[in-house]
Amino acid sequence: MNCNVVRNLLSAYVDSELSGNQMLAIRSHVSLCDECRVELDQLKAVKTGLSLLAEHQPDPMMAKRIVAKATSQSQGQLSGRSVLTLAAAAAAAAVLAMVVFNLSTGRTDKANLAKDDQTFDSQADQAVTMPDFGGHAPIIPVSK
Amino acid sequence: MLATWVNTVTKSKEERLCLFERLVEDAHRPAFNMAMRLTANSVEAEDLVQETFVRAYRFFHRYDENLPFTSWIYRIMTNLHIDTVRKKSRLKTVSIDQSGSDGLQTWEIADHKAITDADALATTLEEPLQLGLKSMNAEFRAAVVLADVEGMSYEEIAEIMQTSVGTVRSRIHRGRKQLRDHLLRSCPDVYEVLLR
Repeated sequence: MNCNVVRNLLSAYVDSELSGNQMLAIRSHVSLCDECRVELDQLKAVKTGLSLLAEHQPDPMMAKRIVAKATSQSQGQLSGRSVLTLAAAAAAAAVLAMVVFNLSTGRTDKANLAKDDQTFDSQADQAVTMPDFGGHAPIIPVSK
Repeated sequence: MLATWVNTVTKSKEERLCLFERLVEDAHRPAFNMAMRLTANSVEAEDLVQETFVRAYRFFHRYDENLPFTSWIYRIMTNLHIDTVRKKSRLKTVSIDQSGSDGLQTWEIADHKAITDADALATTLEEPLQLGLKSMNAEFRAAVVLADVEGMSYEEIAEIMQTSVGTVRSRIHRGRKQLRDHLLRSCPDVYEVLLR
């Protein structure tokens, strides 16, 4: 392994996140290479420093504030969804009402139309009466 | 520690709320510490924690019980933090890679012996390390904090950040190098103690 390859793997080596072969190869390299060993020590120091940092503690009421906010926001969203659901239901009901209305007015019209037809037919019956040809077929002139 | 295996599907609303409260009690301390390391500001940290748990409660029904609850919280928090940093176009960052950049405070110690004690060392390191973390790229910062503050493996971090192990390895390496350079510039004496 050359120095460029080793240096890119040094953090993973510090964290033991490499394969066995890679770990052995880097161990061997840094035992012989001063520059890479210095780099390794510096990266270890950064990791050590971060691991030493004290844990920040929240104030004692934070958990209650978190639950209160999470649940109140959740209820707000649910209320919003309820409003939308009601609005959707109202819209659907309105559409259904219009459909029913149209269907019912359509049947009335049809009934009226049928009645008109009957009237027409009866009127037509009255208007058209075949003359009596005395048993002979009528001769209808046909123009050529 | 409260067991983190959760099955929220069959629970009633009251049961889910009760369970959520117990999980918050268990997870809010490490969550706050994580948020402090990401934001370096107690007000921003609490805002980040609040928003994280609000989302967690909203999507509680989607929680994958194969992932420990705290890890799920870290995933939400990391994504939130990275998104927030990206949106903040006005955020002024100090490049810690620039040599001789203005505004970098230096920390000096009067007596090397005073910082042989671990607690004293931690106190001395707090400000320079936190400033160094704050100056990093958000993804690098999240990866380094999860590895070195939370002690997670690369696979765990990859799961939380929803990326590959290779990307995690790169982010940690580049983040630590940035911190190393920052410490060498800002507090070489303190850093020298760490190197012993």
